[in-house]
Amino acid sequence: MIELLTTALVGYSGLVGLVAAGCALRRVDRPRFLDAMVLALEGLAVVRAMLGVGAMASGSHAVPGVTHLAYLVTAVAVLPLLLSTLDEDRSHWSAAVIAVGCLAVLVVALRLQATW
Amino acid sequence: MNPSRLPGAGGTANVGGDAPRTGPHRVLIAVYALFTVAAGARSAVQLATDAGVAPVAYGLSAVAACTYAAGWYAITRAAQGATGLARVLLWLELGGVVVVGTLSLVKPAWFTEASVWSQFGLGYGFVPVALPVCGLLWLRSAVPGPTPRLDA
Repeated sequence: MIELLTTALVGYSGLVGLVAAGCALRRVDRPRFLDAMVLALEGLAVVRAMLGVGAMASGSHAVPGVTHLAYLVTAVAVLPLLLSTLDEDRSHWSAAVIAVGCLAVLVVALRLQATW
Repeated sequence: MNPSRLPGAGGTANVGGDAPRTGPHRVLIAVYALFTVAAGARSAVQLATDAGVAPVAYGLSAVAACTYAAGWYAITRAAQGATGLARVLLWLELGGVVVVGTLSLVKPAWFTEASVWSQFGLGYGFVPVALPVCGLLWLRSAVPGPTPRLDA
């Protein structure tokens, strides 16, 4: 289940990142549906983190190490951190910021897979 | 007029010295925020768990994290027109990446473990060396040079 969720996190962050990069490259304002996609991505990251922590706490999976825990926290914290820098900006530059955030989530999700 | 507080530093609206609503600085600030967290978390974990293994490399990662945090603040200020601090910090950051990157290639024994700036940021897709260059290019394009005198 956790492996499946991590794979979904990799794929979905890539998809959202591509949509955001497309908006940035076409220089169109950040559409509302992109906000919804980012919200869903954040939800996925939170669920993945909670299940991971739950599996470690219950003893069904050994604690992989401090590095893995750092990746778990980072996967959840990246998007809110970047969105907080945007204020009310809805220009194509804000879509570029979201693309950067999605790329970061993708890399962190890959590292989560590798360290689990 | 203080040249380090020129208005219009890289935004579409910078009326009265307020932060410009949008512009490429948004991406710069986002990447600096990311690298503050990435380098900070990396050095914190390394120093907390294996400080004795490679104190130089881990210490340099901590220095990099502090540099990114300062760069984050400085670019936010530069977007409001105060570019002096950003200019100094970006040059310092670029110097740090070049010196550490060169030393990691010339004296690999000093770097038994990689730091954020080892091999010019190879482990981070060379973003560490590209970031200050992009920042300096943004400052250069956003802040106009001295106005040429037109002698009548």
